[in-house]
Amino acid sequence: MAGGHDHHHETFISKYIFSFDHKMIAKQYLITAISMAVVGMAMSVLFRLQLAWPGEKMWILNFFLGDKWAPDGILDPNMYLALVTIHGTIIVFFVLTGGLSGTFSNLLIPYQLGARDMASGFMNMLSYWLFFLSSVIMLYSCVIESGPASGGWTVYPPLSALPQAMPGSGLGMTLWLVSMTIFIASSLMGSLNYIVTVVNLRTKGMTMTRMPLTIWCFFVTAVLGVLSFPVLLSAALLLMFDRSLGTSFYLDSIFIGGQPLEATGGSPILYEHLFWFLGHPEVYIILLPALGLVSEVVSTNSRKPIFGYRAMIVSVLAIAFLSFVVWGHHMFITGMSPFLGTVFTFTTLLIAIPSAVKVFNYLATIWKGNLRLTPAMLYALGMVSLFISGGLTGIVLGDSALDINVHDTYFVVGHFHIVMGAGAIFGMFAGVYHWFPRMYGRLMNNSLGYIHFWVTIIAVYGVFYPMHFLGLAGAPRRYYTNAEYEMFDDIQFINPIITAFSILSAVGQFIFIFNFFYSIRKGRKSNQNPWKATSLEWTAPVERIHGNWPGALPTVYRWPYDYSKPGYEEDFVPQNVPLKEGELDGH
Amino acid sequence: MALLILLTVLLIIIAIAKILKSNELVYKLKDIDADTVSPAEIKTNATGILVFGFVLFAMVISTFIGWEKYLLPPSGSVHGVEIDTLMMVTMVIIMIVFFITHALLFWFVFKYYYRKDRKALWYPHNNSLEIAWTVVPASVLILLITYGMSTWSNIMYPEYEDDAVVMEVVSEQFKWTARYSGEDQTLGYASFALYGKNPVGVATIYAMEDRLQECESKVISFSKDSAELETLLTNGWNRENDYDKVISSLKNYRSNVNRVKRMLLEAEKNPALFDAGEDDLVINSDSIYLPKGRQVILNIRSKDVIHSAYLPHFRAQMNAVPGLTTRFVFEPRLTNEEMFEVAKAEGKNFTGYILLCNKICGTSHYNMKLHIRVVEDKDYRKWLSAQTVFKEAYK
Repeated sequence: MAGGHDHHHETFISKYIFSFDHKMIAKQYLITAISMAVVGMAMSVLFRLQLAWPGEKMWILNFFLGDKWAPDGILDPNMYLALVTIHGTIIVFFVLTGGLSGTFSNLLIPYQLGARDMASGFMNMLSYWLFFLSSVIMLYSCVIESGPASGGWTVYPPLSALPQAMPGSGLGMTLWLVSMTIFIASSLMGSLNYIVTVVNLRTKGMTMTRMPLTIWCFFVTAVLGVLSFPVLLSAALLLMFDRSLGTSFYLDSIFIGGQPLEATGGSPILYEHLFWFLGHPEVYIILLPALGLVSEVVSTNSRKPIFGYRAMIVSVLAIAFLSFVVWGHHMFITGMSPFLGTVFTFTTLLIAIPSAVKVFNYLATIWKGNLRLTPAMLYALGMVSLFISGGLTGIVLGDSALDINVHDTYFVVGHFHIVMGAGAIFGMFAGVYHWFPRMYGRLMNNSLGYIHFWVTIIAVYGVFYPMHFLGLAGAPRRYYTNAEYEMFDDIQFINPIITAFSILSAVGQFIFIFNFFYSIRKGRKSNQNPWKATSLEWTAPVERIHGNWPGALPTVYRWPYDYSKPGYEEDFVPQNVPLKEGELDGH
Repeated sequence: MALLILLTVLLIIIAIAKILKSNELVYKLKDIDADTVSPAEIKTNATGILVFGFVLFAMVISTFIGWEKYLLPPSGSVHGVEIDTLMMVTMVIIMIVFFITHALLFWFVFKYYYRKDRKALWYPHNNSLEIAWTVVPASVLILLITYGMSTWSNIMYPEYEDDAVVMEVVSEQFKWTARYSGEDQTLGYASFALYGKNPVGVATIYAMEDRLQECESKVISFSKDSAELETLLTNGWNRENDYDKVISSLKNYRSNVNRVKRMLLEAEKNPALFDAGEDDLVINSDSIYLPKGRQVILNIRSKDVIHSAYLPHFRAQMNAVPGLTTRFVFEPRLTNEEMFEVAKAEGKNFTGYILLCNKICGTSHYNMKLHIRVVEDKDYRKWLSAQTVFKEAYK
C-alpha cells in the first residue's frame, strides 16, 4: 500500500514511464486512448468514404492504405471488412473500456475516496503496460502482409477459425486473439485493483452511501468486468485451440476450400453464447463509468444535489444485474430455441426501467437548478440526450419479434453508436473537460470546448440518426457496397450525407486534441477547486503530489451532493466540512 | 486537391489560434474570475441548446414524413403484418417519450441557465416521484413485452399446414442454393460429407457410393504426394507449407471416407431413409419461385461459415449455421406484381423479393443473394415441374 512517503526519490523512468502513481497512470491511459481513438476514427472515415462513393477512385484511400489494399484508390473489399473490424475493436475495447475506466477509475477512485493511491500501485502499473502492449499488437496486426482480423469485431467462428475462409483469418486473427488475451489480463488487474481500493481504502467517514456516484459506477463496472471478461478469455482460448491445435469446439460439418473438414462435433453457437456473455455486460462496462461521470458533472454544474441519490445507486445495481441475463438478445435469430428468445426479450426490456429512472432523475436534477454550462456540462447534457435517443431504439431491438427484421441492419449500427459509442464518448469528454484541472492543474480553453461540443453533437446526430432509416429500408451492415442491389438505389443518397457528417466529426476532434495538448502547457492556471465542487479530489492541492494530500487524509462528514443547501452562504459544502449542530446529512 | 486540403487545414489552424488569443483577451478585459465561465457564454450556449432542440425535432419530423417512402413496403408475408403493427405501436410509444423527455431537457437547460443572483432549489429526493417514474415505464414495458412475446411465439411456433412448401436454402461463400422437396413433402437426408458435385449433399445410395470412390482416390493421391514431400523434406527441402496442406487434406479425406462408409452401413439397415431425396429438386439458379398463399417451411443450412438468410420484404431472417439446420416458416401473401402495385400506392419502389446474406461471411459478403418470385400457386407448380429431380440431375 502506498503510504505517505514524503521524500520519495523519483527518476524520469519511475515518474513518467513505469510509474506506480494513480494520477500518472490515469494520464498514460488517457493519452494512449486518445491515440487509439485517432486511429479508430480515421479508419471509420476511410470506410465511410467507400460507402458514400463505392468503387470510386479516391487518392486519399491509396495514400493511407497503399497499393496493396487500395490500388488506384479503390478500396479492397477485404480491407473494408478489416477496417470495420479493427475500428470496432479499437473503439469498444481500447478506447471505451481500457481508456474510459483506465483513465477515470485510476484518477478518481483514490482522489474521491480520500486514499493515497490505489491498493496495489505495482499491479496498476502492470495493468497499464499490458494495455499498452496489447494496443501495440493490435496496431501491428494492421500492417502485416495478409491484413488484420476482418471477421467483424465479434469474430464469430468458423469465419475467424479457418484461415482459408478469408485473408484476415490468418496471422491477423492470431494477433487479434493474442492482443485481446493480454488486454483481458490488463483489464482484470485493473478491475481487481479498483474493487479492492473501493472496499478497503475509503477515508474516515466515507461510508458506501457517502461515495460519489462516479465511484459507485466505477465499482460496479469493475465487478462486471471481473465476472465477465474471464468468459471472453475462455472463448478466445478455445478459438485459439481450434485454430492451432486441431480441436473443434466451434467447428462442425464444414466444407471449405473444396474439402470436408475432419473437425466435427463443435458448435459455433457456443462461441456466440460465450462471447455475448461478456459482450452484453461489456456494453455496461462502457456505459456505467460514463453515466457516473455525467452524474457528477450534472450535479456540480446544476449547483443542485443529484436527484434521488439512492435511487441512482439502486438503478445502477439493477442495470448491472440485468446485464448478465440479457446476452441472448444478440442471438434471437441464430437458431437458438425460440423459448430462450422469449426469456431474453423479457429481461432485456426490463433494463429500460432502471434506465428510465436514471433519465428522469437527471431531468429532476437540472430542474430549478442554476446551470453553469461549462463544456463539460454541455457534454454531460448531450450524453443524457444520446442515452435517451439510443436507449429508446433499444426497445425495438430488444423485442425479439421486431428484431427479426432489423437484426444486423444499419438500425443496429445507429442504435449502438448513439447509446454506447457516442454516449460513452460524450461521458468521457465531459470527464476530460471537468477533471482536466485535476490532472494538469490548468483549465482547458472554453471557447474551443464549446466549438468542439457543437461540432460533435451535430455530427453525431448527423451520422447516426439517418442510419436508422437505412436499417428500416433493409440495408444490412458490413456491406462493402449496396450497389449490387437495386432495392438500395433509392437510399444511396443518404450515405454521402452520413459520410460528410463523419468527416465533420473527425475534423472536429482535432479541435479537442489541439485544445488538450495546448492546455497542458499553456492553459489558464486553475485554482484548487475551479468548479466549486464538494467531492474530496478538490480538497487536495493543485500540485499533484505523491500521496495526494500533504498532511493527514481528509475526514468525511457528509454526502457528496451538498449543493445550494439551505443554511449555507456558499452554494456548495465540501464533504470534509463537519455537519452543523442539528444538521441532517443528505436531507 | 491536396493543395486545397492543405490550405483548409492551415486556415483552420489560424482560426483556432485567433480564437484562443481573443478568448484570453476577453477574460483579461472583463476580469472574470479565472475559474468560472462567463455569463455571456453560458447564455449563448443555453440559447444554442434551445435552437438545437428545435432543429433536432424539425429533423426528426421532416425525415419521418419525407423519408417514409424509402422504407420497406408493406409486409409480403402474413406474419409480417403483425410485426409491422407491433413496430408501429412501439414507434409511437418511443417517439412520445423521445419528444417529451427531450423537450424537458432542452427547456430546463434554457430556463435554468446560470445567473449570479439565483440559487438552485434544494431538492435531493422525493420517493413518490421515484415510484411514479418506476411504475409508469414498467407498466408500459410490461404491455410491450407481452405484446412482443405473443407475436414472437406466433411466428416461431407456427402450426404446420398440410400443403406447405417444404424447402431449404444452403449457403456457402458466396451463394445460396435452394432445394425443394418433391411430392413426398420431405427433404431427403443430406450430409456435408457429400458436397462436391452434389451441391447440397443429398444422401442417396448412389450419391454416397460415388462420393466414397471419389474420396478414396483422393486419399491415395494425397498419400503419394505426402510420401514424396516427405522424402524431399528429409533431403533438406524446406517445403513445410505444402507439406502441412497435403497432410491436412489427407486427414480430411480419410475421415470423410469413414464418414461415408458409416452412412452406407446405415443405408443397408434402413434403405428407406435414403430414398426421400430421390425426388428432391435442387435449383442451380440465383432465382427461385414461391407460391402465394401457401405456407413455406424454409430450412436453412450452411456449408462453411455462418451466414444469415435475410428476407426483408417478408420480415423474415434466420442464421445459417454450419452443423445446425435452422428454420423459418412464413406465408407469402402478395405476388411480385401485387406487391409492386401495393408499394406504388404508398409511393414506394418495389424491385422484387430478395434473400440476402446478413452475417459477415468473407470477401464477397455484400454480393450474396437469391432472387425470389412470388407467383400464383398454379404458376409455381408449372415452374417446379419444369425443374429436374435429383435422381435425374445427378449424373
